[in-house]
Amino acid sequence: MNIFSLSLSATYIILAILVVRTLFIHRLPKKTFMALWSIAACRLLLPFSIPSQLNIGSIVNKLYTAWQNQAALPVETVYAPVINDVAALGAPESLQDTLITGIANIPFDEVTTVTTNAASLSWLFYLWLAGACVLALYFLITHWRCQNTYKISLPIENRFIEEWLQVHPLRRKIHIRQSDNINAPLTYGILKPVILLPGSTDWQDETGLAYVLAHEYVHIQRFDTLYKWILVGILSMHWFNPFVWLMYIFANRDIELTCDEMVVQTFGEKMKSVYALMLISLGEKRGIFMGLCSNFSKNSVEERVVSIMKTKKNSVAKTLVALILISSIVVLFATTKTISAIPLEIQEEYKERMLFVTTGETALKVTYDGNTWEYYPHNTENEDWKWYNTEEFEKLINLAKTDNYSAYRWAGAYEAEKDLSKLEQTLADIKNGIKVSKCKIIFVADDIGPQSVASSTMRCFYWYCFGYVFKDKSGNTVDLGLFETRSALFAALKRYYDKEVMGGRMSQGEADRLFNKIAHPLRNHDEVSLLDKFINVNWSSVVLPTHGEGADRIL
Amino acid sequence: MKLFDSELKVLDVLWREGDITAKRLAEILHEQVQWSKTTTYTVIKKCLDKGVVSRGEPNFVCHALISRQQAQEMETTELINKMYGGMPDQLVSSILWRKDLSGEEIERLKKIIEKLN
Repeated sequence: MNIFSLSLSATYIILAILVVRTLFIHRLPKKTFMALWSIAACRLLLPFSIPSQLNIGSIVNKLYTAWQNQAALPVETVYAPVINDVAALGAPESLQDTLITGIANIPFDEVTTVTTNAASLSWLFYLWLAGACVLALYFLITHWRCQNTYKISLPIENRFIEEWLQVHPLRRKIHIRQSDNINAPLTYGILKPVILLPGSTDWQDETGLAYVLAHEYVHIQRFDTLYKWILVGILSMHWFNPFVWLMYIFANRDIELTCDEMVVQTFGEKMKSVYALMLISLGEKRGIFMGLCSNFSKNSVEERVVSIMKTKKNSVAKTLVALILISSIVVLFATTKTISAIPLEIQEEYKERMLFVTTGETALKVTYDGNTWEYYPHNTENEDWKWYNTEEFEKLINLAKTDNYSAYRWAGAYEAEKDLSKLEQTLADIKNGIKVSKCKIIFVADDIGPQSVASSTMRCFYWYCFGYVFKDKSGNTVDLGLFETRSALFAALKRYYDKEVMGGRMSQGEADRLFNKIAHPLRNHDEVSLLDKFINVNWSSVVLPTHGEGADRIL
Repeated sequence: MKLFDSELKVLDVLWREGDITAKRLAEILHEQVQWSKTTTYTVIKKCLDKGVVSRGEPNFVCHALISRQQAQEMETTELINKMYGGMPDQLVSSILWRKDLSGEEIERLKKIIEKLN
């Protein structure tokens, strides 16, 4: 899961929380929203997913499938140009139909996951990294500047404050200081918390001071500064996502609202108007990053005042509603669509699939829901359908040049080789005698049987493997087998020649010459292992086009 | 010119202790107001920029360029300009009306005013 799909999946939660917040901000305990933001924060920070049948994506997919079966949507039209391109390459027509209908339903995020390509990823990665660094630096520099101002504060000699500190002990020692460089009270420091009061504070107004200190004390108790830093970290990581910016703004507001709520509950509801008035008079602006929030501060003060005035005792019913809301948001949005882990036996079979093309055995055998499907990625009867010839591969390269990526994908290209230079290398290899297999594998990412393959969520992978078949000195055909990567093929070739030299059937010089004729220095991208790529993808049951006319051709 | 509390703190030490090195100043302020060495040096720099402190050799000896009285006058002038529309008499009457002044103190202040007239 890369940062972009992570961000996208969290966007749904943020949107849901924003809706809930708009509806219930003054009706539910403020802690509810803090809990919800924490869930969103976890989602944005932790790069793994918890699959659930009840996930909103799963539900939408099911509804969509049901609706589509009813409406018989002519999805093929969308992919009309693609069909032509595939036809141009001589793929069986009925297979195209099966695949195209399925492919049309791939949700956008899944396509992007599948098509992430080494070249396009690298510049995107650097762009992301640059943005994240700029934002993080902005926050750090702002923090550092403010910190310097805060440090030149002076201690306060005041009986009330000394007494207050004695009745509010905390494991971390709290310092209360004053500074005439600030206009409103604030708190900074996580492990060594300091409450900073403006120099203009009226030290005689003990009621006012008690409120201000109570508010700051709650912030310190709850490690709100740390929470704010985590939010800053998340924002820097997800700077490209406008919804994360919204989350940053509203989560910061909710930190204040929760704090206000706790103060009002401590002092009793009768005091809330006094507290609200004091807030207005202070125009209290919090935080290390005032510059960023200032645009929203006017609205937020209004929101805080309304929220304080509407604060009521938290009833059992309210807490219950809050808990239900939180858990339903977790189940609906914080999980991902059901994608059961790939069963071990499929993993095992998958490894064998590599051998299939040469041995003619079943490529993939999948047992699902009591039924067994066998999948042959190639028509073994027909050599033309099995290997690329030079002409076909040139067509493929031309497709890649048209920049019609989906068409190009359809033509059965190796995913990581959108890069033309890589394709040219493969063409050179084909011309040089290396066999490159046409291989299409279809995985269905939802729990749908073969009867609905055409309308289910599908992932398609294209890959080719490399083989080398040649005649040795005595005229026998040597088949080295099929390999995931060129390097594996070259290693096998090297082993073959080494054995020939050891057995005295060939001189070292001759072996080197023959080896170098085929092998060439490899670039790193040749080393991508299909197995690694597949294991890193969330995929579940493998459903094969075993129905319809297409199946006859494939099986 | 506005002097911040932090800058006045530095001046206050210089007025009491006379000319002392920046190092000694940092030691005193660390004890008094828990400033770190860098924080004190930052404030000294600000005082240098405002021209209220000079720093000489050897060992960065700091010297207050304004007296306590001058600083008080500066602050008072600013207060009069800011709060009393530039009219000193308004400030005086405001002081005379303060509740925390004893009758004795008020009498003393009145005498000062009469003497100045």
